[in-house]
Amino acid sequence: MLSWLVGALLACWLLVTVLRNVPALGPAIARRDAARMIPSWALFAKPQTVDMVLLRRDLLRDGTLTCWREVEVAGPRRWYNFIWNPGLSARRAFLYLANEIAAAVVRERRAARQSAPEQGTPAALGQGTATALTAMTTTAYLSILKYLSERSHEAVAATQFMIMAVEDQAITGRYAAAGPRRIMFVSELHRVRRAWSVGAGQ
Amino acid sequence: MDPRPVVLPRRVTVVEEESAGSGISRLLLSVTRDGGPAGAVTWEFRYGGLPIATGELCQDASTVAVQAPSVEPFMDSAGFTITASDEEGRPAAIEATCVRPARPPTRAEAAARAAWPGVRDQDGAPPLRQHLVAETQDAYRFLSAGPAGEARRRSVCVYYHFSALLARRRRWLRRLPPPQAGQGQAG
Repeated sequence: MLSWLVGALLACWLLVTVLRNVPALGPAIARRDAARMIPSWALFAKPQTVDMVLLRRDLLRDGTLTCWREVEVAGPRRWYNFIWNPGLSARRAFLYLANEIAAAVVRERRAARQSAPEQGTPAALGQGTATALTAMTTTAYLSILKYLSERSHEAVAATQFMIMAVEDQAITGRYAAAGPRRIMFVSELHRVRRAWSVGAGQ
Repeated sequence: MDPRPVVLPRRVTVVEEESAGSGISRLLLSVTRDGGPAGAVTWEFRYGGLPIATGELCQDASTVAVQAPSVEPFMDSAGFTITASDEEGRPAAIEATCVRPARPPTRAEAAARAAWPGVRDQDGAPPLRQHLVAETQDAYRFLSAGPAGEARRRSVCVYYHFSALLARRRRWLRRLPPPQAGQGQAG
C-alpha cells in the first residue's frame, strides 16, 4: 500500500513538472510553488551556440587610440578548472550581461525597422549610433563599464568596449584561423576616472 | 630670462617578438652626439604621455640597452613615446627601439581590428544624449609605430564616468511616477 502511495506521489510530481515546463502553464504553476519543489526543466532550452567575447580599446592621455584587445574575464582558463573553477561565476555573469545587451540591440533594431520600414534594418550599430546611446544607462552596460574602468592603467583617459559573438571558440581555441564571428555591440567612449585632463602627462 | 625649451616626445619604434614568450621588454636608446649634447642625457619613456621609465646616458655613451619591466603586455605599442634632454634642459635627439614579447592577435582581436579600426567622427552627441557627454576629444590612431608613424585624427565624444551615469540613472528612476494600484503586477 505504501509503495503505491509513494509511486502515486512521484507520478504526480512528474506530471506537475511536465506541466510546469509547458510555456503557457509554467508561470501560473511557478507562482503557486512556494516550496520551490517543481524544477524548471531546461533540458530542452535553446543552448548558447556562440561564445561572447569582450574587447576593449582605450584613449590614452596623449590622445593615442589603442588597438582592440581581448579582455579575459576572470583570467585565463587553467587545467584544473574542470574540478575547481572559481572564475566560472564571473564568466557566467559576463555572459548574462552580454546577452542582455545583445537582446537590447535586437529589440532596438526591430523597433527601428517597424517605425521606419522604408529605411530597412539599420546596419550600423554601436559607437555614434542611437543604439549605443539607448543602451548607455542600462544595468548591463554600466556593469561592464565599471568592470573595465576599474582595470585601467593610469595612462588611460577613456575606454570603449565591444561585444563579439564568436562561434566554436571553446572548441577551436582563441587563436584558430578566422571563423564565423559577429560584432554584437560597440559602446561609446567613457572616462575611466571622475576627472582628467588631456595633456596631464605631457 | 630665456624661455625654457620644450622637449617634445618622439614616437618609439617597437619590435614585437611573438616567439619570445613572456620575457622582459628591452629598450635600445641611441643619442646623436655630433653637434648635440656633450654631457649626460636624461631620457623619459612614456606610455600615453605618462612616464613609466626614466634613466640617464652618461657623458661617453651614445647608445645603451636597458630592461623595461614597466612595459606590460596589455600596453599598445602605439602609445609609447620618449623624450630626452641634456643637463641644461635642452632637448636632445634620441632614437628609441623597444623590443617586447607579444602574443599573436586572437581571432576576435583580428576581426575587431579589421572591422572597426577607427572611431566614428563625432562633432557632438545627439540632442537626447548631450547631457551625458563629458567632452569632445581628438583621438589619434597611429597607423605604424615609429617616429614616422602616420596619425589619423578623429574627433570623438567622451561620455561621463560610469558612476556619473549611474547617479543620473538613479535620479531618473526616482522621478518616474510610481505605478498605480493594479498595474505592473502581472507575471
